Amino acid sequence: MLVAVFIAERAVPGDPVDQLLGERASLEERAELRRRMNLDGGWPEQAWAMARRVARLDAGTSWALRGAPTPVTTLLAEALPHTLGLAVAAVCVGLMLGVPLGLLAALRAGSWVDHLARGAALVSVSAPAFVTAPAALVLFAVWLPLAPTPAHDAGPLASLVLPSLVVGFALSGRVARLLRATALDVLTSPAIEASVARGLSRQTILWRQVLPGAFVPVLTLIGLQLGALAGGAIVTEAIFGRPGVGTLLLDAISRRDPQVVEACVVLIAWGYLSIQALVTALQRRLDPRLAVGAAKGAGAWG
Amino acid sequence: MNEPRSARTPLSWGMTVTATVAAAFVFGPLLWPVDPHLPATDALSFAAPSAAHPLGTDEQARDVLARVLAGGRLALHVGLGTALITLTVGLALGLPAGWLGGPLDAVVRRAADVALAFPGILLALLVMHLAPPDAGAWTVVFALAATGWAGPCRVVRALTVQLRTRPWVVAARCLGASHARVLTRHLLPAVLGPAAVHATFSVAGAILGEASLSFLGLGPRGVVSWGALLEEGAATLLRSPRLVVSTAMALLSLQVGLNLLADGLRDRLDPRAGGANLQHLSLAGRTDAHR
Repeated sequence: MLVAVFIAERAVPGDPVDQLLGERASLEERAELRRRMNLDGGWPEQAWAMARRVARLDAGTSWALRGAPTPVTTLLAEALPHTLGLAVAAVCVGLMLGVPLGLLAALRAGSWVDHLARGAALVSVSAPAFVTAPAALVLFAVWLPLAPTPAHDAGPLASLVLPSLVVGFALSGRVARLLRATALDVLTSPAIEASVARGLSRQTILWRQVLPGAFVPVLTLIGLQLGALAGGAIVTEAIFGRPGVGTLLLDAISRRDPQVVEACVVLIAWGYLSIQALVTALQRRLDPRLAVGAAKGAGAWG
Repeated sequence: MNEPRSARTPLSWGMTVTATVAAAFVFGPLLWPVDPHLPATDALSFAAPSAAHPLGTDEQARDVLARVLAGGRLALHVGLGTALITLTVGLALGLPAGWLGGPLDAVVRRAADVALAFPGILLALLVMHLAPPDAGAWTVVFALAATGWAGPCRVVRALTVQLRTRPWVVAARCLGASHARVLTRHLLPAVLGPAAVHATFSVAGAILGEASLSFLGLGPRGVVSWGALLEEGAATLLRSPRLVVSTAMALLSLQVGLNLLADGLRDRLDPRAGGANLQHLSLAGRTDAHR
Protein backbone atom coordinates (compact mmCIF):
# COMPACT_ATOMS: atom_id res chain seq x y z
CA MET A 1 0.00 0.00 0.00
CA LEU A 2 2.78 2.39 0.92
CA VAL A 3 4.57 1.40 -2.24
CA ALA A 4 1.50 2.30 -4.29
CA VAL A 5 1.23 5.69 -2.61
CA PHE A 6 4.95 6.33 -3.01
CA ILE A 7 4.85 5.60 -6.74
CA ALA A 8 1.69 7.64 -7.21
CA GLU A 9 3.21 10.65 -5.45
CA ARG A 10 6.29 10.61 -7.63
CA ALA A 11 4.49 9.79 -10.84
CA VAL A 12 2.51 13.02 -10.87
CA PRO A 13 3.79 15.54 -13.35
CA GLY A 14 4.81 18.77 -11.70
CA ASP A 15 7.14 19.45 -8.82
CA PRO A 16 5.82 20.03 -5.32
CA VAL A 17 8.74 22.34 -4.64
CA ASP A 18 7.77 24.63 -7.52
CA GLN A 19 4.23 24.67 -6.26
CA LEU A 20 5.30 25.67 -2.77
CA LEU A 21 7.79 28.37 -3.55
CA GLY A 22 6.24 29.84 -6.64
CA GLU A 23 7.97 31.30 -9.66
CA ARG A 24 10.28 33.72 -7.94
CA ALA A 25 12.29 31.44 -5.70
CA SER A 26 16.01 31.28 -6.34
CA LEU A 27 17.81 28.10 -7.31
CA GLU A 28 19.52 27.92 -3.90
CA GLU A 29 16.22 28.18 -2.09
CA ARG A 30 14.78 25.41 -4.22
CA ALA A 31 17.72 23.11 -3.63
CA GLU A 32 17.57 23.77 0.11
CA LEU A 33 13.86 22.97 0.42
CA ARG A 34 14.25 19.96 -1.82
CA ARG A 35 16.94 18.60 0.48
CA ARG A 36 14.86 19.23 3.59
CA MET A 37 11.79 17.61 2.03
CA ASN A 38 13.87 14.51 1.24
CA LEU A 39 13.13 15.00 -2.43
CA ASP A 40 16.76 15.24 -3.53
CA GLY A 41 18.36 12.12 -4.90
CA GLY A 42 16.81 9.54 -7.16
CA TRP A 43 13.86 7.27 -6.55
CA PRO A 44 15.85 4.54 -4.79
CA GLU A 45 17.24 7.03 -2.29
CA GLN A 46 13.80 8.51 -1.68
CA ALA A 47 12.31 5.06 -1.19
CA TRP A 48 15.07 4.11 1.24
CA ALA A 49 14.58 7.33 3.20
CA MET A 50 10.87 6.64 3.40
CA ALA A 51 11.37 3.05 4.55
CA ARG A 52 13.70 4.31 7.29
CA ARG A 53 11.17 6.91 8.41
CA VAL A 54 8.41 4.31 8.56
CA ALA A 55 10.59 1.98 10.59
CA ARG A 56 11.36 4.80 13.06
CA LEU A 57 7.68 5.85 13.13
CA ASP A 58 8.84 9.28 12.07
CA ALA A 59 6.06 10.87 10.10
CA GLY A 60 8.21 13.71 8.83
CA THR A 61 7.31 17.34 8.34
CA SER A 62 4.51 18.95 6.40
CA TRP A 63 5.59 21.80 4.14
CA ALA A 64 2.44 22.74 2.33
CA LEU A 65 -0.47 22.76 4.74
CA ARG A 66 0.47 25.48 7.20
CA GLY A 67 2.40 28.70 6.79
CA ALA A 68 5.36 27.24 8.65
CA PRO A 69 6.72 23.71 8.42
CA THR A 70 4.75 21.58 10.89
CA PRO A 71 5.54 18.08 12.12
CA VAL A 72 3.02 15.71 10.58
CA THR A 73 2.45 14.12 13.97
CA THR A 74 1.11 17.46 15.21
CA LEU A 75 -1.31 17.68 12.31
CA LEU A 76 -2.49 14.14 12.91
CA ALA A 77 -2.78 14.65 16.65
CA GLU A 78 -5.00 17.67 16.01
CA ALA A 79 -7.17 15.80 13.51
CA LEU A 80 -7.53 12.47 15.30
CA PRO A 81 -9.80 13.50 18.20
CA HIS A 82 -12.35 14.94 15.75
CA THR A 83 -12.35 11.78 13.68
CA LEU A 84 -12.44 9.36 16.61
CA GLY A 85 -15.16 11.37 18.31
CA LEU A 86 -17.30 11.20 15.21
CA ALA A 87 -16.59 7.50 14.70
CA VAL A 88 -17.55 6.56 18.27
CA ALA A 89 -20.62 8.80 18.34
CA ALA A 90 -21.77 7.48 14.96
CA VAL A 91 -21.38 3.86 16.05
CA CYS A 92 -23.43 4.63 19.20
CA VAL A 93 -26.18 6.23 17.11
CA GLY A 94 -26.04 3.38 14.63
CA LEU A 95 -26.43 0.77 17.38
CA MET A 96 -29.16 2.70 19.20
CA LEU A 97 -31.21 2.94 16.02
CA GLY A 98 -30.22 -0.30 14.34
CA VAL A 99 -30.39 -2.87 17.15
CA PRO A 100 -34.03 -2.23 18.19
CA LEU A 101 -35.05 -1.98 14.55
CA GLY A 102 -33.39 -5.25 13.59
CA LEU A 103 -34.60 -7.14 16.66
CA LEU A 104 -38.18 -5.93 16.28
CA ALA A 105 -38.17 -6.90 12.62
CA ALA A 106 -36.90 -10.38 13.45
CA LEU A 107 -39.35 -10.94 16.34
CA ARG A 108 -42.30 -9.77 14.26
CA ALA A 109 -41.07 -11.22 10.96
CA GLY A 110 -43.64 -10.91 8.21
CA SER A 111 -45.78 -8.32 10.01
CA TRP A 112 -46.17 -4.67 9.11
CA VAL A 113 -43.53 -3.78 11.74
CA ASP A 114 -41.09 -5.97 9.84
CA HIS A 115 -41.96 -4.41 6.50
CA LEU A 116 -41.66 -0.92 7.91
CA ALA A 117 -38.31 -1.67 9.55
CA ARG A 118 -36.95 -3.29 6.41
CA GLY A 119 -38.09 -0.33 4.33
CA ALA A 120 -36.39 2.11 6.70
CA ALA A 121 -33.22 0.04 6.68
CA LEU A 122 -33.26 -0.08 2.90
CA VAL A 123 -33.49 3.70 2.65
CA SER A 124 -30.70 4.06 5.18
CA VAL A 125 -28.46 1.69 3.21
CA SER A 126 -29.28 3.44 -0.06
CA ALA A 127 -28.85 7.04 1.04
CA PRO A 128 -25.30 8.40 0.93
CA ALA A 129 -24.08 11.09 3.33
CA PHE A 130 -24.34 13.83 0.74
CA VAL A 131 -28.07 13.14 0.50
CA THR A 132 -28.81 12.65 4.19
CA ALA A 133 -26.62 15.54 5.34
CA PRO A 134 -28.52 18.30 3.51
CA ALA A 135 -31.77 16.68 4.63
CA ALA A 136 -30.59 16.61 8.24
CA LEU A 137 -29.39 20.20 8.00
CA VAL A 138 -32.70 21.48 6.70
CA LEU A 139 -34.71 19.37 9.13
CA PHE A 140 -32.80 19.85 12.38
CA ALA A 141 -30.97 23.13 11.89
CA VAL A 142 -33.40 25.21 9.85
CA TRP A 143 -36.96 23.97 10.43
CA LEU A 144 -36.47 22.81 14.01
CA PRO A 145 -33.53 24.85 15.21
CA LEU A 146 -32.21 22.17 17.55
CA ALA A 147 -28.71 21.59 16.27
CA PRO A 148 -26.11 24.09 15.16
CA THR A 149 -25.35 24.54 11.47
CA PRO A 150 -21.70 24.24 10.46
CA ALA A 151 -21.57 28.01 10.18
CA HIS A 152 -22.15 28.38 13.92
CA ASP A 153 -19.00 27.74 15.82
CA ALA A 154 -20.58 25.47 18.34
CA GLY A 155 -18.94 23.53 21.14
CA PRO A 156 -17.28 20.19 20.44
CA LEU A 157 -20.30 18.20 21.60
CA ALA A 158 -23.01 20.23 19.88
CA SER A 159 -21.17 20.21 16.58
CA LEU A 160 -21.00 16.43 16.81
CA VAL A 161 -24.79 16.01 16.79
CA LEU A 162 -25.61 16.33 13.10
CA PRO A 163 -22.54 14.56 11.64
CA SER A 164 -22.95 11.60 13.98
CA LEU A 165 -26.66 11.44 13.15
CA VAL A 166 -25.83 11.36 9.45
CA VAL A 167 -23.16 8.67 9.72
CA GLY A 168 -25.08 6.80 12.41
CA PHE A 169 -28.20 6.71 10.24
CA ALA A 170 -26.23 5.10 7.43
CA LEU A 171 -24.80 2.58 9.91
CA SER A 172 -28.15 1.78 11.52
CA GLY A 173 -29.63 0.33 8.34
CA ARG A 174 -26.69 -2.03 7.93
CA VAL A 175 -26.87 -3.08 11.57
CA ALA A 176 -30.63 -3.62 11.37
CA ARG A 177 -30.47 -5.70 8.19
CA LEU A 178 -27.71 -7.92 9.48
CA LEU A 179 -29.22 -8.31 12.95
CA ARG A 180 -32.62 -9.20 11.51
CA ALA A 181 -31.08 -11.97 9.40
CA THR A 182 -28.90 -13.40 12.16
CA ALA A 183 -31.61 -13.09 14.83
CA LEU A 184 -34.02 -14.99 12.58
CA ASP A 185 -31.40 -17.69 12.24
CA VAL A 186 -31.06 -17.98 16.00
CA LEU A 187 -34.81 -17.77 16.62
CA THR A 188 -35.51 -20.69 14.31
CA SER A 189 -32.74 -22.83 15.79
CA PRO A 190 -33.49 -25.93 17.95
CA ALA A 191 -31.70 -24.33 20.91
CA ILE A 192 -34.41 -21.69 21.23
CA GLU A 193 -37.14 -24.28 20.87
CA ALA A 194 -35.52 -26.23 23.69
CA SER A 195 -35.40 -23.12 25.88
CA VAL A 196 -39.08 -22.44 25.24
CA ALA A 197 -39.81 -26.05 26.15
CA ARG A 198 -37.84 -25.64 29.39
CA GLY A 199 -40.20 -22.81 30.24
CA LEU A 200 -37.71 -19.94 30.21
CA SER A 201 -39.35 -16.55 29.95
CA ARG A 202 -39.34 -14.64 26.70
CA GLN A 203 -37.18 -11.96 28.27
CA THR A 204 -34.53 -14.44 29.34
CA ILE A 205 -34.47 -16.11 25.96
CA LEU A 206 -34.25 -12.79 24.16
CA TRP A 207 -31.50 -11.23 26.25
CA ARG A 208 -29.48 -14.29 27.19
CA GLN A 209 -29.66 -16.34 24.03
CA VAL A 210 -30.95 -14.53 20.97
CA LEU A 211 -29.07 -11.28 21.32
CA PRO A 212 -25.61 -12.69 22.14
CA GLY A 213 -25.94 -15.31 19.43
CA ALA A 214 -27.08 -12.87 16.80
CA PHE A 215 -24.65 -10.16 17.78
CA VAL A 216 -21.37 -11.75 16.69
CA PRO A 217 -21.72 -10.90 12.98
CA VAL A 218 -22.95 -7.43 13.93
CA LEU A 219 -19.74 -6.99 15.87
CA THR A 220 -17.75 -7.79 12.75
CA LEU A 221 -19.78 -5.24 10.82
CA ILE A 222 -19.25 -2.59 13.48
CA GLY A 223 -15.54 -3.37 13.51
CA LEU A 224 -15.23 -3.02 9.75
CA GLN A 225 -17.19 0.21 9.77
CA LEU A 226 -15.23 1.60 12.71
CA GLY A 227 -12.05 0.81 10.83
CA ALA A 228 -13.34 2.62 7.77
CA LEU A 229 -14.51 5.56 9.91
CA ALA A 230 -11.15 5.86 11.63
CA GLY A 231 -9.84 6.87 8.23
CA GLY A 232 -12.14 9.84 8.43
CA ALA A 233 -15.66 10.03 7.13
CA ILE A 234 -14.33 12.06 4.21
CA VAL A 235 -17.64 13.21 2.74
CA THR A 236 -19.31 13.96 6.06
CA GLU A 237 -16.27 15.84 7.31
CA ALA A 238 -16.26 17.88 4.11
CA ILE A 239 -19.94 18.77 4.39
CA PHE A 240 -19.84 19.80 8.01
CA GLY A 241 -16.39 21.34 7.79
CA ARG A 242 -14.96 19.12 10.51
CA PRO A 243 -11.16 19.19 10.80
CA GLY A 244 -10.69 15.42 10.92
CA VAL A 245 -8.33 12.96 9.29
CA GLY A 246 -10.45 12.82 6.13
CA THR A 247 -10.25 16.58 5.68
CA LEU A 248 -6.53 16.54 6.39
CA LEU A 249 -6.01 13.84 3.79
CA LEU A 250 -8.14 15.63 1.21
CA ASP A 251 -6.20 18.85 1.82
CA ALA A 252 -2.89 17.04 1.61
CA ILE A 253 -3.86 15.38 -1.66
CA SER A 254 -4.95 18.62 -3.29
CA ARG A 255 -1.99 20.62 -1.92
CA ARG A 256 0.57 17.99 -2.91
CA ASP A 257 1.97 17.23 0.50
CA PRO A 258 3.52 13.75 0.17
CA GLN A 259 4.57 13.41 3.82
CA VAL A 260 1.06 14.03 5.10
CA VAL A 261 -0.54 11.69 2.55
CA GLU A 262 1.91 8.94 3.47
CA ALA A 263 1.35 9.42 7.18
CA CYS A 264 -2.43 9.42 6.79
CA VAL A 265 -2.35 6.27 4.69
CA VAL A 266 -0.13 4.49 7.22
CA LEU A 267 -2.34 5.61 10.09
CA ILE A 268 -5.53 4.58 8.31
CA ALA A 269 -4.19 1.17 7.32
CA TRP A 270 -2.79 0.59 10.78
CA GLY A 271 -6.04 1.59 12.45
CA TYR A 272 -7.99 -0.64 10.10
CA LEU A 273 -5.81 -3.66 10.72
CA SER A 274 -5.68 -3.24 14.50
CA ILE A 275 -9.46 -2.94 14.70
CA GLN A 276 -9.76 -6.06 12.57
CA ALA A 277 -7.48 -7.92 14.97
CA LEU A 278 -9.48 -6.65 17.94
CA VAL A 279 -12.74 -7.77 16.38
CA THR A 280 -11.37 -11.22 15.62
CA ALA A 281 -10.22 -11.60 19.23
CA LEU A 282 -13.61 -10.43 20.57
CA GLN A 283 -15.45 -12.79 18.25
CA ARG A 284 -13.52 -15.75 19.60
CA ARG A 285 -14.51 -14.77 23.12
CA LEU A 286 -18.18 -14.58 22.16
CA ASP A 287 -18.35 -17.58 19.86
CA PRO A 288 -16.11 -20.49 20.86
CA ARG A 289 -16.73 -22.21 17.53
CA LEU A 290 -14.70 -19.52 15.78
CA ALA A 291 -11.66 -20.20 17.95
CA VAL A 292 -11.76 -23.83 16.86
CA GLY A 293 -12.14 -22.79 13.24
CA ALA A 294 -9.19 -20.44 13.54
CA ALA A 295 -7.08 -23.16 15.09
CA LYS A 296 -7.69 -25.20 11.98
CA GLY A 297 -6.42 -22.31 9.97
CA ALA A 298 -9.73 -21.14 8.56
CA GLY A 299 -9.30 -17.52 9.62
CA ALA A 300 -10.98 -14.65 7.87
CA TRP A 301 -10.66 -16.38 4.54
CA GLY A 302 -12.82 -19.35 5.56
CA MET B 1 -50.59 -6.26 -10.85
CA ASN B 2 -53.05 -9.15 -11.33
CA GLU B 3 -50.88 -11.52 -9.37
CA PRO B 4 -51.54 -12.06 -5.67
CA ARG B 5 -49.77 -9.70 -3.30
CA SER B 6 -47.48 -12.38 -1.91
CA ALA B 7 -45.90 -12.81 -5.35
CA ARG B 8 -44.45 -9.34 -5.05
CA THR B 9 -41.07 -10.39 -3.71
CA PRO B 10 -38.12 -8.05 -3.23
CA LEU B 11 -36.70 -9.55 -6.41
CA SER B 12 -39.63 -8.53 -8.59
CA TRP B 13 -39.85 -5.12 -6.89
CA GLY B 14 -36.13 -4.63 -7.39
CA MET B 15 -36.29 -5.63 -11.03
CA THR B 16 -39.26 -3.34 -11.66
CA VAL B 17 -37.78 -0.32 -9.92
CA THR B 18 -34.29 -0.77 -11.38
CA ALA B 19 -35.58 -1.38 -14.90
CA THR B 20 -37.89 1.65 -14.78
CA VAL B 21 -35.28 4.00 -13.38
CA ALA B 22 -32.52 2.70 -15.64
CA ALA B 23 -34.76 3.00 -18.70
CA ALA B 24 -35.53 6.57 -17.72
CA PHE B 25 -31.83 7.42 -17.72
CA VAL B 26 -31.04 5.49 -20.89
CA PHE B 27 -33.92 6.82 -22.97
CA GLY B 28 -34.61 10.03 -21.06
CA PRO B 29 -32.01 12.15 -22.86
CA LEU B 30 -33.57 11.00 -26.16
CA LEU B 31 -37.08 11.93 -25.07
CA TRP B 32 -36.00 15.16 -23.40
CA PRO B 33 -33.34 16.45 -25.79
CA VAL B 34 -32.36 19.56 -23.86
CA ASP B 35 -28.65 20.32 -23.55
CA PRO B 36 -27.75 19.93 -19.87
CA HIS B 37 -24.72 22.22 -20.22
CA LEU B 38 -26.32 25.27 -21.81
CA PRO B 39 -28.39 27.89 -19.98
CA ALA B 40 -32.01 28.01 -21.12
CA THR B 41 -32.88 30.96 -23.33
CA ASP B 42 -36.45 31.15 -22.12
CA ALA B 43 -36.01 31.10 -18.36
CA LEU B 44 -34.15 32.87 -15.57
CA SER B 45 -32.06 31.18 -12.92
CA PHE B 46 -33.98 29.26 -10.24
CA ALA B 47 -37.11 29.35 -12.41
CA ALA B 48 -40.07 27.49 -10.95
CA PRO B 49 -41.24 24.32 -12.70
CA SER B 50 -43.10 24.99 -15.95
CA ALA B 51 -44.07 23.12 -19.11
CA ALA B 52 -40.74 24.06 -20.74
CA HIS B 53 -38.75 23.08 -17.63
CA PRO B 54 -40.65 20.47 -15.61
CA LEU B 55 -38.16 20.62 -12.73
CA GLY B 56 -37.28 24.29 -13.10
CA THR B 57 -33.80 25.66 -13.71
CA ASP B 58 -30.63 25.95 -11.64
CA GLU B 59 -28.46 28.91 -10.71
CA GLN B 60 -27.17 29.27 -14.28
CA ALA B 61 -30.66 28.81 -15.76
CA ARG B 62 -29.88 25.29 -16.96
CA ASP B 63 -32.69 22.76 -17.18
CA VAL B 64 -32.69 20.65 -14.01
CA LEU B 65 -34.48 17.68 -15.59
CA ALA B 66 -31.90 17.45 -18.39
CA ARG B 67 -29.07 17.65 -15.85
CA VAL B 68 -30.51 14.96 -13.59
CA LEU B 69 -31.04 12.69 -16.61
CA ALA B 70 -27.48 13.28 -17.83
CA GLY B 71 -26.20 12.49 -14.32
CA GLY B 72 -28.19 9.26 -14.39
CA ARG B 73 -26.50 8.22 -17.62
CA LEU B 74 -23.10 8.78 -16.09
CA ALA B 75 -24.14 6.87 -12.95
CA LEU B 76 -25.25 3.87 -15.01
CA HIS B 77 -22.09 4.02 -17.10
CA VAL B 78 -19.81 4.08 -14.07
CA GLY B 79 -21.88 1.57 -12.09
CA LEU B 80 -22.14 -1.04 -14.83
CA GLY B 81 -18.59 -0.49 -16.09
CA THR B 82 -17.07 -0.87 -12.63
CA ALA B 83 -19.18 -3.91 -11.77
CA LEU B 84 -18.28 -5.59 -15.06
CA ILE B 85 -14.55 -5.02 -14.60
CA THR B 86 -14.47 -6.01 -10.94
CA LEU B 87 -16.57 -9.11 -11.64
CA THR B 88 -14.31 -10.17 -14.51
CA VAL B 89 -11.11 -9.60 -12.55
CA GLY B 90 -12.59 -11.23 -9.45
CA LEU B 91 -13.51 -14.35 -11.43
CA ALA B 92 -10.25 -14.43 -13.36
CA LEU B 93 -8.20 -14.27 -10.15
CA GLY B 94 -10.49 -15.89 -7.60
CA LEU B 95 -11.30 -19.08 -9.50
CA PRO B 96 -7.73 -20.22 -10.26
CA ALA B 97 -6.53 -19.05 -6.82
CA GLY B 98 -9.15 -21.10 -5.02
CA TRP B 99 -8.77 -24.09 -7.33
CA LEU B 100 -4.98 -24.34 -7.53
CA GLY B 101 -4.06 -22.96 -4.11
CA GLY B 102 -0.33 -22.73 -3.47
CA PRO B 103 1.78 -19.71 -4.37
CA LEU B 104 -0.79 -18.25 -6.80
CA ASP B 105 -3.39 -18.33 -4.02
CA ALA B 106 -0.99 -16.69 -1.59
CA VAL B 107 -0.18 -13.87 -4.01
CA VAL B 108 -3.83 -13.23 -4.89
CA ARG B 109 -4.87 -13.22 -1.23
CA ARG B 110 -2.09 -10.83 -0.30
CA ALA B 111 -2.99 -8.48 -3.17
CA ALA B 112 -6.68 -8.58 -2.22
CA ASP B 113 -5.81 -7.83 1.40
CA VAL B 114 -3.82 -4.80 0.33
CA ALA B 115 -6.67 -3.57 -1.88
CA LEU B 116 -9.16 -4.08 0.95
CA ALA B 117 -7.00 -2.23 3.44
CA PHE B 118 -7.51 0.98 1.46
CA PRO B 119 -10.64 2.20 3.16
CA GLY B 120 -13.43 3.29 0.87
CA ILE B 121 -12.57 5.62 -1.93
CA LEU B 122 -9.11 6.58 -0.67
CA LEU B 123 -7.27 5.05 -3.62
CA ALA B 124 -9.86 6.36 -6.07
CA LEU B 125 -9.34 9.83 -4.60
CA LEU B 126 -5.60 9.55 -5.18
CA VAL B 127 -6.05 8.22 -8.72
CA MET B 128 -8.54 10.95 -9.64
CA HIS B 129 -6.25 13.60 -8.25
CA LEU B 130 -3.37 12.30 -10.34
CA ALA B 131 -5.49 11.87 -13.45
CA PRO B 132 -5.06 14.33 -16.33
CA PRO B 133 -7.50 17.25 -16.23
CA ASP B 134 -9.63 15.80 -19.04
CA ALA B 135 -10.24 12.53 -17.19
CA GLY B 136 -13.63 11.15 -18.13
CA ALA B 137 -16.02 8.49 -16.92
CA TRP B 138 -13.69 5.60 -17.76
CA THR B 139 -10.97 7.02 -15.54
CA VAL B 140 -13.45 6.96 -12.66
CA VAL B 141 -14.35 3.38 -13.55
CA PHE B 142 -10.72 2.31 -13.34
CA ALA B 143 -10.13 4.34 -10.19
CA LEU B 144 -13.03 2.56 -8.47
CA ALA B 145 -12.13 -0.85 -9.92
CA ALA B 146 -8.56 -0.49 -8.60
CA THR B 147 -9.72 -1.61 -5.16
CA GLY B 148 -13.18 -2.91 -6.08
CA TRP B 149 -11.96 -6.18 -7.58
CA ALA B 150 -10.87 -7.49 -4.18
CA GLY B 151 -14.43 -8.00 -2.88
CA PRO B 152 -15.67 -10.31 -5.67
CA CYS B 153 -12.27 -12.00 -5.79
CA ARG B 154 -12.52 -12.90 -2.13
CA VAL B 155 -16.07 -14.22 -2.49
CA VAL B 156 -15.25 -16.26 -5.60
CA ARG B 157 -12.10 -17.70 -4.04
CA ALA B 158 -13.85 -18.70 -0.81
CA LEU B 159 -16.65 -20.41 -2.76
CA THR B 160 -14.19 -22.20 -5.02
CA VAL B 161 -12.33 -23.57 -2.00
CA GLN B 162 -15.64 -24.85 -0.60
CA LEU B 163 -16.62 -26.45 -3.90
CA ARG B 164 -13.22 -27.91 -4.71
CA THR B 165 -13.87 -31.21 -2.93
CA ARG B 166 -17.52 -31.64 -3.96
CA PRO B 167 -18.22 -35.03 -5.57
CA TRP B 168 -19.18 -33.62 -8.95
CA VAL B 169 -15.94 -31.67 -9.17
CA VAL B 170 -13.83 -34.64 -8.11
CA ALA B 171 -15.76 -36.84 -10.55
CA ALA B 172 -15.04 -34.45 -13.38
CA ARG B 173 -11.34 -34.57 -12.57
CA CYS B 174 -11.42 -38.38 -12.39
CA LEU B 175 -13.04 -38.50 -15.82
CA GLY B 176 -9.99 -36.70 -17.13
CA ALA B 177 -11.30 -33.15 -17.41
CA SER B 178 -8.51 -30.60 -17.65
CA HIS B 179 -8.06 -27.80 -15.10
CA ALA B 180 -9.44 -25.33 -17.60
CA ARG B 181 -12.50 -27.45 -18.25
CA VAL B 182 -13.28 -27.94 -14.57
CA LEU B 183 -12.89 -24.22 -13.98
CA THR B 184 -15.05 -23.06 -16.87
CA ARG B 185 -17.67 -25.81 -17.11
CA HIS B 186 -18.06 -26.92 -13.49
CA LEU B 187 -16.90 -24.24 -11.09
CA LEU B 188 -17.70 -21.05 -13.03
CA PRO B 189 -21.45 -21.76 -13.28
CA ALA B 190 -21.53 -22.63 -9.58
CA VAL B 191 -19.93 -19.40 -8.40
CA LEU B 192 -21.62 -17.18 -10.96
CA GLY B 193 -24.79 -16.75 -8.88
CA PRO B 194 -23.16 -15.37 -5.73
CA ALA B 195 -20.77 -13.39 -7.92
CA ALA B 196 -23.76 -11.84 -9.69
CA VAL B 197 -25.27 -10.83 -6.34
CA HIS B 198 -21.98 -9.23 -5.46
CA ALA B 199 -21.85 -7.48 -8.83
CA THR B 200 -25.31 -6.03 -8.27
CA PHE B 201 -24.21 -4.61 -4.95
CA SER B 202 -21.09 -3.24 -6.58
CA VAL B 203 -23.12 -1.42 -9.23
CA ALA B 204 -24.84 0.41 -6.38
CA GLY B 205 -21.52 0.91 -4.60
CA ALA B 206 -19.76 2.28 -7.68
CA ILE B 207 -22.58 4.73 -8.33
CA LEU B 208 -22.19 6.05 -4.79
CA GLY B 209 -18.41 6.08 -5.20
CA GLU B 210 -18.60 8.17 -8.36
CA ALA B 211 -21.07 10.54 -6.74
CA SER B 212 -18.78 10.90 -3.70
CA LEU B 213 -15.77 11.68 -5.90
CA SER B 214 -17.76 14.27 -7.83
CA PHE B 215 -19.15 15.70 -4.62
CA LEU B 216 -15.59 16.20 -3.40
CA GLY B 217 -14.70 17.84 -6.70
CA LEU B 218 -12.65 14.92 -8.01
CA GLY B 219 -15.17 13.37 -10.39
CA PRO B 220 -15.05 13.02 -14.15
CA ARG B 221 -14.62 16.29 -15.99
CA GLY B 222 -16.87 17.63 -18.71
CA VAL B 223 -19.91 15.53 -17.81
CA VAL B 224 -22.83 16.08 -15.48
CA SER B 225 -22.64 14.02 -12.30
CA TRP B 226 -25.10 13.60 -9.45
CA GLY B 227 -22.37 14.23 -6.93
CA ALA B 228 -21.53 17.56 -8.52
CA LEU B 229 -25.23 18.45 -8.79
CA LEU B 230 -25.72 17.75 -5.09
CA GLU B 231 -22.66 19.81 -4.25
CA GLU B 232 -23.95 22.72 -6.37
CA GLY B 233 -27.43 22.32 -4.95
CA ALA B 234 -26.23 22.20 -1.34
CA ALA B 235 -24.68 25.64 -1.75
CA THR B 236 -28.05 27.11 -2.74
CA LEU B 237 -30.14 24.73 -0.66
CA LEU B 238 -32.13 27.33 1.21
CA ARG B 239 -32.80 29.45 -1.84
CA SER B 240 -33.95 26.65 -4.07
CA PRO B 241 -33.98 23.07 -2.78
CA ARG B 242 -35.28 21.78 -6.13
CA LEU B 243 -31.90 20.69 -7.54
CA VAL B 244 -30.94 18.78 -4.40
CA VAL B 245 -34.37 17.20 -4.03
CA SER B 246 -34.61 16.04 -7.66
CA THR B 247 -31.07 14.69 -7.75
CA ALA B 248 -31.43 13.00 -4.38
CA MET B 249 -34.71 11.40 -5.45
CA ALA B 250 -33.17 10.08 -8.67
CA LEU B 251 -30.14 8.70 -6.84
CA LEU B 252 -32.24 7.20 -4.05
CA SER B 253 -34.66 5.46 -6.39
CA LEU B 254 -31.83 3.87 -8.36
CA GLN B 255 -30.07 2.82 -5.13
CA VAL B 256 -33.21 1.38 -3.56
CA GLY B 257 -33.98 -0.49 -6.78
CA LEU B 258 -30.50 -1.96 -7.03
CA ASN B 259 -30.38 -2.94 -3.37
CA LEU B 260 -33.80 -4.61 -3.61
CA LEU B 261 -32.65 -6.43 -6.72
CA ALA B 262 -29.49 -7.65 -5.02
CA ASP B 263 -31.40 -8.66 -1.88
CA GLY B 264 -33.91 -10.52 -3.99
CA LEU B 265 -31.23 -12.33 -5.95
CA ARG B 266 -29.52 -13.31 -2.72
CA ASP B 267 -32.75 -14.63 -1.20
CA ARG B 268 -33.42 -16.59 -4.37
CA LEU B 269 -30.00 -18.23 -4.08
CA ASP B 270 -30.32 -18.90 -0.38
CA PRO B 271 -33.99 -19.27 0.48
CA ARG B 272 -33.35 -19.79 4.18
CA ALA B 273 -34.72 -17.12 6.48
CA GLY B 274 -33.33 -13.80 5.40
CA GLY B 275 -30.38 -15.38 3.66
CA ALA B 276 -27.98 -14.90 6.54
CA ASN B 277 -25.70 -17.39 4.85
CA LEU B 278 -24.96 -15.06 2.00
CA GLN B 279 -25.43 -11.93 4.07
CA HIS B 280 -21.70 -11.33 3.98
CA LEU B 281 -22.03 -10.70 0.27
CA SER B 282 -23.54 -7.33 0.95
CA LEU B 283 -20.75 -6.52 3.38
CA ALA B 284 -17.68 -7.81 1.62
CA GLY B 285 -16.11 -5.20 -0.55
CA ARG B 286 -18.35 -2.45 0.69
CA THR B 287 -16.64 -0.53 3.41
CA ASP B 288 -18.85 2.34 2.43
CA ALA B 289 -16.98 4.79 0.39
CA HIS B 290 -19.70 7.33 0.48
CA ARG B 291 -19.33 8.71 3.95
